[in-house]
Amino acid sequence: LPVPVPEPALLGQWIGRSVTVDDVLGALSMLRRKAERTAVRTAVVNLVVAAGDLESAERTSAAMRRLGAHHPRRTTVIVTEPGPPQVLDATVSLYEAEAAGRHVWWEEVGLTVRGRMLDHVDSVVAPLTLPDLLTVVWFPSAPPAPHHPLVGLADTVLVDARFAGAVAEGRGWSADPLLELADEVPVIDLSWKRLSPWRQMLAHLFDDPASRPFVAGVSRAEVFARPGPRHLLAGWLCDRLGLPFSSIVQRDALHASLRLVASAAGRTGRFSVDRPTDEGVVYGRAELDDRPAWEEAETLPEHGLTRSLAEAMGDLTHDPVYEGALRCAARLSR
Amino acid sequence: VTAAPGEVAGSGPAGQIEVQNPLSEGLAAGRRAPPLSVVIFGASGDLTSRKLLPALAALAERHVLPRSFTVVGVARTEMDDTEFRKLAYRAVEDPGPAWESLVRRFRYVSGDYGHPETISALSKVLAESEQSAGTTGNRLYYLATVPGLFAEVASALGQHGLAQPARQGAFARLVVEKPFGRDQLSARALDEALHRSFDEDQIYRIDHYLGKETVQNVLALRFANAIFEPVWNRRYVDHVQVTVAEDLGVEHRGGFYETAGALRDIVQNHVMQLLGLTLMEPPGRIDAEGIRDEKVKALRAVVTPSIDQVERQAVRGQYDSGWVAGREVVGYRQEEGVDEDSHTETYVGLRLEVDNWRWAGVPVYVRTGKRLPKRATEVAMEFHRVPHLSFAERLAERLSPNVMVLRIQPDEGISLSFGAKVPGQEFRVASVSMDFSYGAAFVEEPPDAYERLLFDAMVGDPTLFIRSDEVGEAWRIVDPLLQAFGEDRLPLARYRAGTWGPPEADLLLERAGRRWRRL
Repeated sequence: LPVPVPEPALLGQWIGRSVTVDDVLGALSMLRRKAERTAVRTAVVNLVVAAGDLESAERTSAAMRRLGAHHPRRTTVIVTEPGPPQVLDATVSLYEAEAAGRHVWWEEVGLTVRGRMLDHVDSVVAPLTLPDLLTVVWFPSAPPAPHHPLVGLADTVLVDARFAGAVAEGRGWSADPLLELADEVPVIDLSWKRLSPWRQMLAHLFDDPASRPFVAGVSRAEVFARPGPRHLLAGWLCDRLGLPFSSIVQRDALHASLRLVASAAGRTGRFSVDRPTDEGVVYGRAELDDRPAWEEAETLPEHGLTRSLAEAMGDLTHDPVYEGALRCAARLSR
Repeated sequence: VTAAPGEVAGSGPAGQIEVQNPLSEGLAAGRRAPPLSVVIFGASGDLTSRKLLPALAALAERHVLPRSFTVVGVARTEMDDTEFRKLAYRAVEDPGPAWESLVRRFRYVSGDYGHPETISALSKVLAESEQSAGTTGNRLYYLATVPGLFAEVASALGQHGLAQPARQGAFARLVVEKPFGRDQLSARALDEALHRSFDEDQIYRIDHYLGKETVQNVLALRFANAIFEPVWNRRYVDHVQVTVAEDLGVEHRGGFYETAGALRDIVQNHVMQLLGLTLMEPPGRIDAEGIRDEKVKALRAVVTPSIDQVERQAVRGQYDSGWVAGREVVGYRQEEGVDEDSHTETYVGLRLEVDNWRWAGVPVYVRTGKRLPKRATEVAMEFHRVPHLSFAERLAERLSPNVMVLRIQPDEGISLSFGAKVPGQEFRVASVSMDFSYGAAFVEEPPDAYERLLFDAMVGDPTLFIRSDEVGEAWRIVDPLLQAFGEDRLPLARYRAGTWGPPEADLLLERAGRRWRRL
């Protein structure tokens, strides 16, 4: 994602109170027809955001707007308000942004859903999705139950493992809700995407021919991070390296770190991946007996919801490595 | 080679046992180069400044180069390390912090390429760099010199033991720039010279065309879609047209172009690669050997034209003065560095035949030229007409055969023309085009071709590099043309700059009732 992405221009907006889905569809057509210039519709995905409250809706909408013309999409952001009256409010906005000299348009639909309509929110959203495109449903707070109506609409669900603990009330972080969800639909986890530089760096430390034999002899792993990401990293090591649970030590920490001790042909190797400060650099270090230690560094991409979203949208396919890590994380977290 | 996590999987190139890295799975998109020294021969030259250093800088800024990484420049130009570092820094527009930090470790060796003193000095600098930068003995040699020096440099590296990996488990690779020889004989001689020091799997022959995303997309279009492959054959395709058109002249490369011409500069390499990808059978796997095996088989099926056939199947031309894009331009013979009586071709039109089950009887027309009206590279498949046209002829006069076009550059994309009813009282039909533009679907800028290929060489992925047998087949096809052109068996047709080539080229198709596509 090139930085900075130019702020998209709002070409037109329609606001309706107590409206029908047909009114919203009419507004979508009308905004395109009335725009001064014409452009080919550009969308590669339907993105539905189950924002919950207004604050979350504003935060996620802003993050999506900062994607600019990247991953052109039709977005539907849903705010839910419990209780009657059973009415639908909607805002339809048409945006334009420029990328690589081309003008791209896309629409964002904001819906406030109330009453019994909440249980059938999929029926409100389905007519608004563009045909033949992947539908991604994003739950920016707690992951949904597998029978949530919007899960049935989704080709892929976007979640964040950091918030999985909110579901298992009073029992701390749990991988079970994510695991149950992953049994129903492919899951893309923003936390997992954010951990890529750590995983990349650790894998890279074993790419060197001198250190490669040690990957089969890891005897101890220490994982430091916040709940959620920490469990995923521990689960990944457990799954990929076949480590017994007893050899993995987990501790809470603000920034993620990994330390591995391994042996090969009677020699010992120590491998670590650390983000020691807020400066945004991940350091990898390999120390092998009888060889000078070597280090690598990788600058982390600018952090933020937009970046995480861009990475997630860049690869929406089912990730068996994540699912393996999740299964182990679930066993580790029980 | 696959194995369970951490298990022994097979034997590596240096006889070392490979253990799979289970932590790499699922991280393929984020590949990083291994610890490495890149040695550039011709480090003070144009290619290094224009392409290689900016490509390295882009890789550095994308953080795919390891900390244990360095570049050693070798050239005749007298320079010290500091001056080379300045050159490297200045070669990059808007250098970032990663490049700035990397450049500080660059080293430079000056001297004649084949001279033992130069190679000894290089060997010493490499040993120092490997110690200080921790590059673990992995080396990538890049031949960015004039082609006449390729064999000499490779031989010098071999004689000084630098062609082999510095230690077990490390690698030594050689990247060779085109042209790979001047004809079949010299290409074979160059190959033999390279193979005296390097094994074929150490050699990466680079044609930057293959690094272009849209060239690679020919494979995606053909082998990721079920609807195209069934019609990709003689039953449905009437003929194929390959166009590589340039609006530029020879610019400041007149001296070089005089020794090359369009046949060597474009047809032997770029066009043959496009043909290979277009005509090949589906490979069992999209990997280096799968793709290259099938490309070679396709090229092998292209009939070598006899000298007599060349006169009927080829046209060569040279541009005169004219107007291109609103600018008056001089003729080729008035260009800087060009002989005023030059017979070098700036345009080639060709008709090739392919002898295999899929393409028998389907002519392949090729045209390439300089100072044509616009820059355009494309492969077009023109399909047979319908067996019986049910409409009155006057109502279908705007109906052309279906054409599928793979646009390589500019405005990369795919279009398919088909007949549709023109709105109105009469049942009039006309051809319309269904157009897919890459820019509309994927707004991300693809990596530069050199950036992609340089990185592939670093990580040891030869898929987009040209194998020795591909080079041999391409020269086999082009050699009779070279001979005929060299012996002036074909008249050198003239064309005005800003036109689509000499009228004689139109006859190549008109004789068979066809015509070049209007681009």
